[in-house]
Amino acid sequence: MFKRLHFKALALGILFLAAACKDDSSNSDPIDQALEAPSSYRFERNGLSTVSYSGQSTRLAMGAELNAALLDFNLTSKQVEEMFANADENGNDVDPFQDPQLNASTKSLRSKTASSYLYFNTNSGESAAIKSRLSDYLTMQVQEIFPYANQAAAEGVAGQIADGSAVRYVSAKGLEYNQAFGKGLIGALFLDQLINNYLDPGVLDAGSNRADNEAKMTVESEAYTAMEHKWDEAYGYLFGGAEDGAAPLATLGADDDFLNKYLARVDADPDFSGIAVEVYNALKLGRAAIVAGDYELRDDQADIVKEHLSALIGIRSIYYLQSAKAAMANGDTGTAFHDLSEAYGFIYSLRFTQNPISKEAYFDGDEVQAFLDRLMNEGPNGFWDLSAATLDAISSDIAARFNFSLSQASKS
Amino acid sequence: MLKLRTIIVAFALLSILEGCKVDASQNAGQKDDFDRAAMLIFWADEIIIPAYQDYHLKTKVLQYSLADYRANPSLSTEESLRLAFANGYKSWQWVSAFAIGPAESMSLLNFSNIFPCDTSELLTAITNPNLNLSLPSTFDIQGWPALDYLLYGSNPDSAFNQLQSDPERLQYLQILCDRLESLARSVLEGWTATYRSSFVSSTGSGADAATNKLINDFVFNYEKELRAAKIGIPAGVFSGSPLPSRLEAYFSDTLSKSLYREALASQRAFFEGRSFSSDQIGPSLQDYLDYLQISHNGEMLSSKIINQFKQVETLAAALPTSFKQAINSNPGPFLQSYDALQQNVIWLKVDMMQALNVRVDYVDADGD
Repeated sequence: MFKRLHFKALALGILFLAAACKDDSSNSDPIDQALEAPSSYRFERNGLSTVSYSGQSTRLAMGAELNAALLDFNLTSKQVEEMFANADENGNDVDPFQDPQLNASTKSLRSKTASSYLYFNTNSGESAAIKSRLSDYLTMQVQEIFPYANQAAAEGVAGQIADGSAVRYVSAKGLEYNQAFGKGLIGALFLDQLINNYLDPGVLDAGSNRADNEAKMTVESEAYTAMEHKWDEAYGYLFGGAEDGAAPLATLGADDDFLNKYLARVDADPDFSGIAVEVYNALKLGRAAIVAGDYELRDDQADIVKEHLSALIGIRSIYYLQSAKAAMANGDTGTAFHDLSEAYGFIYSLRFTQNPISKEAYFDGDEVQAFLDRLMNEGPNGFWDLSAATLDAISSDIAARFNFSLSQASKS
Repeated sequence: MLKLRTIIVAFALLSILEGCKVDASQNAGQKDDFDRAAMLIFWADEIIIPAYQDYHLKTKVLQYSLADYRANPSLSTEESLRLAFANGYKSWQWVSAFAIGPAESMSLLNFSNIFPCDTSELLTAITNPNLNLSLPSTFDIQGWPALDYLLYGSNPDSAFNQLQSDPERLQYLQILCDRLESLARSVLEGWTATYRSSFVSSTGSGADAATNKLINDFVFNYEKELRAAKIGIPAGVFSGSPLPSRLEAYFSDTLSKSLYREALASQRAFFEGRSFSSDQIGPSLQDYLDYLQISHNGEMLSSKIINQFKQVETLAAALPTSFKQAINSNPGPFLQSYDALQQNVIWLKVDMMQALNVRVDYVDADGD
């Protein structure tokens, strides 16, 4: 992936050099008309900002509250389920959050889970199964973890276990359901909505979006066109927690515990350094392309985002599998289980990746389930029975579909 | 977070660059025949076991002082108890790096010195008759940091009044002191009964060999316990602004500085191979590096490391008596100390470990 992009950059550089050598009287050179990337994600029309992604910021905040609630042992499964759905089991409005603004919102995490246009528009069976799978993690966290929070975990026994000086709460098989949920949500909601919904031409060009965008016809009582807004909603799932949304890289990693955080983590690996800037630049340039009506350029930028954010899921899956292997070798069981739990969630998220060429996930739902079964079913006690060989085998199988190597993804 | 990451990346890059400067030709072809066995024996018999003996003794004194205080609460027994606490906490600094063998299997560090103490959890725990202090969730309500809170608290003048007026609180203090003593005793007995012999006979150079593991423990202790926990985190290196409540011995205030200086002294003594109980100097990491003739930009790496220790010690001596009061208003000297500490992380963790062919066996925690 990075080789290809670097090659692209190199090619562009050569083009620029070539252009520079050209007789500068040729004003009609197409290079001169190339769209300039804006310096920040700031777009205005008639003096008003056209950028809006408040719904995405809201869902990021709901996700943060829900993640925290999963270690509040006083809560009931009803309460955490209501935080996921922002409704009760009959669909009635509830106020499950601490933040009154989130209670006032009609948005919910659950309704947008596994609901992208590209993958789930006509795939409601799988969508429903994924939603209930994530709900199940919430219920199991409350039912299988909370009552045993004050006992030590052991083979076949749920409870707490030390990860260095930190405490982790694991199931009888060693899995932290809250990690399975939180890391699973990264793919099932945030990535899925971002790359498989809002950056999908089927959504960007829906209805009369192109004609309206050409005519600069804005959505009623808003400053943006429908297509601009769709793109912003994609942007918001990555940068919607940033204090300065126009220049969010300054706080990258600190703005949520979802894509933003892990984009920073991957970017900190010298093997992938620069990935965050490339994603940010692609989102900026793609948005400018919409304003300029250059849809080919828009889709090229969308493809960069899809490729990079999908790679992020693969890289972190392998990174945690390999970290777990190292921890197991050192006898640090709790550390290994925490890494495995993160890996479990990231692997679940692989189903929501998208290879921009095939427009399909790097791994489909069955393949993902097979990985999870290999992690959990090596023996009767799940992670307690895992071997290093299995971790290596899964790592290799994941790396094989991406354009990075196992060793690149193993380090941080 | 970004700052932290940037710093880490910057240091990682720096480390790599610095690491490259070690002149490989210096030890290329030289076979590593250094007598690891002699070094391990000296470490065990002259440094580690005597340090644990002293540490265990200090926890016994703590128990006696508490017994005196309970039998006869007075200004004098209060002072003795606080003194025994301070002496025990100082002695801890001489064993905290040796997280190998029985200390590792018993999680001695986690049960002795995880700070800051979670004081609201602690107050709940005091009244919990079913409290199980062997659970990981209780790391931060026991050990020295919890004693620091119980003996000084938010108002040092009333700490003893609270102990007198609340029998459960006093009993909890007793439990914690007893636990410190029993952990210290178990680790010491583990060394003398069985572990010493397996330690000194583990003369290989694999990842599980005693030398490799103890070097890792030593460097981990330097990087995480000394550099980060004692100075970096409270000075705000990772957060952008000072966090005085994260100081070691936050409640007893002036003890923070003493503990930091003890830890520095213990680290250098180990590197130089100074006996804990006598003036003897024995085989050490310094000798090992010199034996392999490891130089760094024309100077012996061991001298660079020792000079850096000395520089850090000079800076430490000049720090204000009360870290708690100074770290907010004037973090500059603390940040300066941190930078000086960091220089030796590079020389120890990158240059030394590379030269000794010891792989780093710990990773930076994910933090999530």
